[in-house]
Amino acid sequence: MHSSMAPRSPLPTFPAVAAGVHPPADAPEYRATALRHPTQPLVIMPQTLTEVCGPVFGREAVGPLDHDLTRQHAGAPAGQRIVIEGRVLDEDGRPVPHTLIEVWQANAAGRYAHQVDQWDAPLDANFSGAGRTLTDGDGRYRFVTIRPGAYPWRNHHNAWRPAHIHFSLFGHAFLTRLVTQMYFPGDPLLALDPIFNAIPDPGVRARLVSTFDLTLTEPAFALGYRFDLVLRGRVGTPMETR
Amino acid sequence: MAGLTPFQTVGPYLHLGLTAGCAPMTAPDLTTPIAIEGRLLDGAGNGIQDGVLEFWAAGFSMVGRAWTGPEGRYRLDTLKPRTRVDEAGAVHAPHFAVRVLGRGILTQYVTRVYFADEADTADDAVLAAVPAARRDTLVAAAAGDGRYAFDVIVQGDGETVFFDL
Ligand SMILES: [Fe+2]
Repeated sequence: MHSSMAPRSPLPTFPAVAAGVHPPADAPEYRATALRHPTQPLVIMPQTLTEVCGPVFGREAVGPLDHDLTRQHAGAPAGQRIVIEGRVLDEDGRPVPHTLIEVWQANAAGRYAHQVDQWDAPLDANFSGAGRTLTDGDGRYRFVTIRPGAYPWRNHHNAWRPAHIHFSLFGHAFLTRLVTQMYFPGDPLLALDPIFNAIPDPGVRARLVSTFDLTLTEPAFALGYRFDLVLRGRVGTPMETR
Repeated sequence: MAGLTPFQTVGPYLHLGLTAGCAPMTAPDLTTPIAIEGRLLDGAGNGIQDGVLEFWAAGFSMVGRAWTGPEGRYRLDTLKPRTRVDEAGAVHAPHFAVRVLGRGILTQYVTRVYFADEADTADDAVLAAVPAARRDTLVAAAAGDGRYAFDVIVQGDGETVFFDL
């Protein structure tokens, strides 16, 4: 593997992120941000080669069953089987091909297979809750998994996270990286969640809610959800990515 | 224009999913092994134990991921990048771009690490744009045997410079 570098062509530049898209660093309702947000203003810097190129993940980055979280153990995990499909696009609507997506989630009972998660819900020996895949040439991806359960957390009295799946994407540059969470439509916990609601604009927030899609639903197999993701786009000369 | 997808925190169980890039960072033309180590600290001076630092420099095969552990300590084994002079003649001293993710971090904090024992650090085009009083927060001290000390303080006294890209 080699990183993408375009030494002779002008560097691409990425338009600034519009205000109000990402949640603020300081979100008092999400208490853990109190001591973990910077208080000094961000320093504006030019985009250099470092920021406009990034790692290139080849086919060897993912195993054949990495995208199917229901087939990583001897038996099937408990819970409602689902498929999640979508596209990774840039801000101009161009597909982001061959980019790595990593996901992690709780099991159907709302418990993570992680030593820090010790609440009283059962682990599932048939579910690790982690997956990865590469988008295809058109930016498409597909995961098979089970619908995660909601889980309690200690942020405030009777706090419960809505069902969600964590997503991590690289795109093709250091500054296209995105880490986010996918939610499910109609979840009554969304209105109560300080992390989801830290995004100030309801229209922007809604981008994180997947949609139920009968065309993705597979008869007698799994419910289908669609979730598209949009990474920062570039202007100027397209870079070689291989 | 399609609407950009907003960030959400990685939460406390980040180790489950963020597994790529845990392989050694390699670069075809670099040969000097180094280790960058230090602590990720919050506004009370306590270590952030559920975070990850991601290091990147042009020419590497892979992003380098360093998990924080007890007391917020981390260590990254990598290779030392070289100085680059761009087409406009600007000097880019050896550095990594560094991204901080963790529980309680709703988005990402982006910074850089330079090396105190590199003469070009003083001439770096990006570092020169940082207020002089805060430049030190981006420079790792040489600690011998190829080791460099670099703490990231997300809030308070000595707060690390974070960039708006
Ligand atoms: Fe979670």
